[in-house]
Amino acid sequence: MKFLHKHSQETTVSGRMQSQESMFNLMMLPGMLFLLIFSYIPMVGIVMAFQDFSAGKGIFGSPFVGLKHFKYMFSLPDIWKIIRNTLTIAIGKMLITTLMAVIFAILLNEIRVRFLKRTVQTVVYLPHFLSWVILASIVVNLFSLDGSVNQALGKLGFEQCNFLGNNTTFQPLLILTDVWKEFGYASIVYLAAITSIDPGLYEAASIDGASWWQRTWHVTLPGMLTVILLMSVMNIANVLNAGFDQVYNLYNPMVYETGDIIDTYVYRMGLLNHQYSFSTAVGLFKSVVGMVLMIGVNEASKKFTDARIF
Amino acid sequence: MIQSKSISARVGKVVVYTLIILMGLICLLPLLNILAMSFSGSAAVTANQVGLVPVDFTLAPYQKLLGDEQFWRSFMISVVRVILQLALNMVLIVLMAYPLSKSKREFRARGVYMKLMIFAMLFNGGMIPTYLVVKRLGLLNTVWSLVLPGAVPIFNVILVMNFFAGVPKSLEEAAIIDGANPLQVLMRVYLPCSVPVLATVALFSIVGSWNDFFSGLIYITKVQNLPLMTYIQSLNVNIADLVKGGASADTLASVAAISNKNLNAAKIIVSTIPLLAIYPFLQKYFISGIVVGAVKE
Amino acid sequence: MSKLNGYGKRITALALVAAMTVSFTACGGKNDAENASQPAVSKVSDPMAKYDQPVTMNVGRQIGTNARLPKGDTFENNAYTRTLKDKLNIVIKDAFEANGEDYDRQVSLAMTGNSLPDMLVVDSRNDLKEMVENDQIADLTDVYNSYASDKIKEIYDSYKDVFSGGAFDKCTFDGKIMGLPDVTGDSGSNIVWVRQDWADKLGIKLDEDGDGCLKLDELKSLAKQFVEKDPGGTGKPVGIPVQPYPTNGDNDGGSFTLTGIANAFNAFPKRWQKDANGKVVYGTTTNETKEFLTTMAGWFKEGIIDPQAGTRTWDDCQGLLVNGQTGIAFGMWHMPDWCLNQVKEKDPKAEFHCYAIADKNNKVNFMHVAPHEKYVVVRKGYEHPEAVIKILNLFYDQLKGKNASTVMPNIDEALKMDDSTRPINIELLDADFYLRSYEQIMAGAKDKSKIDDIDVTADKLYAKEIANYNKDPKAATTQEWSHYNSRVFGLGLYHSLTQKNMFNWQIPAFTGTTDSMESMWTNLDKLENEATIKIITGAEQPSYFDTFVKDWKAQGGDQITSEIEKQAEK
Repeated sequence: MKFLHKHSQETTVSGRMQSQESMFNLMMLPGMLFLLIFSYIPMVGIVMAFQDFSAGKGIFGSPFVGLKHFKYMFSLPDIWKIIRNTLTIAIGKMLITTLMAVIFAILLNEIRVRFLKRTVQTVVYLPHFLSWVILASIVVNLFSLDGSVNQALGKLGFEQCNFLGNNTTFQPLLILTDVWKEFGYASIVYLAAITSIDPGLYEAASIDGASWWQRTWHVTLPGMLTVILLMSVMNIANVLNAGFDQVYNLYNPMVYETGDIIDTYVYRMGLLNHQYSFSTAVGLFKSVVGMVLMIGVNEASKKFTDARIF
Repeated sequence: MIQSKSISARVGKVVVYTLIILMGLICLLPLLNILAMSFSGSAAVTANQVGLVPVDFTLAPYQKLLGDEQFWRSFMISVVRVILQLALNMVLIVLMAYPLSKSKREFRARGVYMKLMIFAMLFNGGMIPTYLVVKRLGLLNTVWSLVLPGAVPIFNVILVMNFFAGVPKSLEEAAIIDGANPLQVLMRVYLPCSVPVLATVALFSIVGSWNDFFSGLIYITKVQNLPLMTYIQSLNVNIADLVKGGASADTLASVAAISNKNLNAAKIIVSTIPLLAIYPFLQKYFISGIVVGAVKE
Repeated sequence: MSKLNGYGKRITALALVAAMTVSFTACGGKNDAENASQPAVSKVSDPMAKYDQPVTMNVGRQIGTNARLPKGDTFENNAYTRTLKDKLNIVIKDAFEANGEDYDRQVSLAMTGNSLPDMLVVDSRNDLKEMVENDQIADLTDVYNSYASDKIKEIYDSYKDVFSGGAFDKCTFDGKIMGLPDVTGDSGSNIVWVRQDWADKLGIKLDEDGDGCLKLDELKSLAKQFVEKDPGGTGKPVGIPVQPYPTNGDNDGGSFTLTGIANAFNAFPKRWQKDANGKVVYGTTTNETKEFLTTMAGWFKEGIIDPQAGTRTWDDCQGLLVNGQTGIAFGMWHMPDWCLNQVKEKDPKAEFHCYAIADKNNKVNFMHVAPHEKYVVVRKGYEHPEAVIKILNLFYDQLKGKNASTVMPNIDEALKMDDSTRPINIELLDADFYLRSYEQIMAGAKDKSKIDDIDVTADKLYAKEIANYNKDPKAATTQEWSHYNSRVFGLGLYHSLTQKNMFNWQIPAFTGTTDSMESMWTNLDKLENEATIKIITGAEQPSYFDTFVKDWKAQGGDQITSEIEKQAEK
């Protein structure tokens, strides 16, 4: 009797599991269908990276050329310089934007004046909506030789500097202006993360007499850790995207040495003739690198923090 | 927190408030600049004379904008598009994030789905094949061509999935014992617990679809059907580029007649307003953490 | 129930995939139009006969940014398309409407999907070539010969000696005309616009011999005085503003460039030219260019050239001009219409005059225009290729000169719209159009009765405006002022230099691209742009020029040059 009972219970559990799983599959279905139609089927286009694609011949008529475009990419005289620029700019932006966004979220959380809190939060996310075409002219006005930054530097007795035409200042300029544009928008997720932290933990901490630093360090940051990790893992996939719009609108031949990135180079190639195959090849290369890094970081974070991102 | 009266705490407070206000100001500057430009004379803007205060004050750009039928038609198209996209995104995000937040034991196919999604997030076939698909489906020139290709924002699914994974198991189990099926669990337990993150992804969806101009360039081939940002983009022709391309005298003159930077500034202001309006509305959901806090023991 | 539903969906999904795969294969297939035979064209009794039945034409329409359509009108339905319907019974439908790069993208997409509109404008010779290779467009030789009006033929024929091979050279494949090119003739050299009111204020006498040219020394001392004396009173005067790409290979030499100065050294950066031995060389690699760059580096050091050259964008340069920080602007004859007018708007006292830069021998060196890479093509298989020629006849012949208002009574209204509201938006101007245009405008401005004789309707308007301006310059509108400046001064300078035989015209040795250019040019271009601006701004010594030339040749320049020579031999 007892035995039987146990048996029947097990079947119901596994039965429930099964019906639950098919329900899960059903829930995934509509989304996967969209992905199938608008992502997976168009992936046929990846073959263009291995073809000399011409619009007239189409995807199925263009001749295959193997790894020609990849080989060509790495035979460009400047390629390593360009990759290095791309990496420096992209990683710089990622690190500093994340840092600023987290700090901002934590500081904002300390603000008790509701009106100020809301206003500032709204305001910092504004620059995100302005395109680089617009922001670039503002940046140029600020940082040119007769711009306000140089005027201020002059008053403080520093030497003036043409930030936009100088190979030592150009990359930092790109990174900092991008942080300025994006940190507010990036902080939204972190604010959401902070709100999800159990207030009980704070109460416990203040009962223990923890200082602000201690609370931040032991409660807030650990509470945000998953999201920070998540965002970092997602960002790392973009390690070869240094922000075409920004660079394109701010660079000039004087700073090609430090400012020319993969996307700007590919763009200039496209001006001569549509380089569909080459740009697909470059895109594929970027995606592969992104995927390897993303999976790597995900595995590492699983190992060291036992946080699983995906 | 009010009881901390030590000097260092007070200094800390001053520092925090100063920093926050400073950050706010720095981010406000560009918009103030653009606002000032939108009320300034065209020549003054071209001459780089406008800082934070309008020069040669004028309302002409806004009057011109009000008279631009296409601007408002495009504006409405964008509104419709945002609503459709938001609805579709939210439904799909929630439906997908929930099963994916389960462990491999509870949902054996999870790994496969996850890999497929990561792959779809990182790789794409490019503009041409996607265009062909949209065309074959007969969606060209319809609002659906702007909405459907971005139906599943994978990044947002992963974001919500991670938040779902943090929802206490006890709540779910309680609901299951009450006889709820997974869909009911999702609706009754997970959604109420996840308002901040849902507000966040809703915001991402709205901002993303409002600001996206590129789909419009590819899938919409009639000016009358352009969404707002694509329309603005198409007007925002850089004279410098045209000059470089050796444009004819007539073309340049005709573009110069509208490439007034003050008018462009006015367009930016008007097209940003909806985003500004929507934010405080969503904001209340991720400033107060009450909902989540109340649920968690 | 839900399970069944899911199953159903899965089946739908599979069906969809299958359908899409099939359709994908289909679009890789050959054009079904291949079999459609070309309509036979022999003698045509009336090339402008109106069709009995409405003929629908799907077009790829390259729109302008500023269409200025009257309320309720669209690109598909406006004064021009209605005239077309009325005169020829042709109905225009837009397959796509886009501008610039976006238009080119739509053309590519249409090519890939093998769904070209019946008629479209192609913006590059590469695309044209591809369409020919893939048999997507129709041979227009016969329809052109039998339908094109004498005037249209005259226009194209005027390029017989201007382009090697004539107007159709670049769009003829195996002896067949596959596209009708956009043509505009020479319009004079790159010139410099100077704030004349400042020069007068400072008592600077320019061009004392009255030949319309400045010598380099004159220009230099002018810039120097403008910088030293700051006639704009801004406190931050700038000499000669230069955009980041100071040399320019465009037909007109570009604006805020140094092309005008380079030409005075007999240097032709960014153009292919023949050297003294008749060999093809790239203009940027010549000794003349080295001399030019070395001199410019000296000017930069002395502050004649904007100290921020290289980082000033084009917009910034215009800003300097409008703000009264500089009074020197290099560019083309029509600059007053779209750039200097802002200066006038900001400062009503502003007056400009333009000069060419002469070389040591008092000649103005310039290069003839290169053929535009812009062609009207017709989809292969379209039933009425001749309709396209009829449209050309209507818009580029009948709507010109005296008859215009009889053909289209509301033409003055239509002219307020942008040219892109016409179903075909190209320019068809004969090789010496601008010289004649100048003469006609001037005659019309002087004598009202001659306005009717003016060919181009827009020019009639300019003649009236100039007459107005002459009556009372102070009361003139900015538009009258700018059209006065661009025609009377700008085109006037071109006209007078031609009359005085002061031009030393060069013929480009090569235009377009070669095979290796596709893979090598981006890199070479980068080398070149970097070297140019770095030498001018002193970031590199002038001796660096030799290193640049060596690198340029080694990294593909030599190979490309030899390809061009081989092509020329053919």
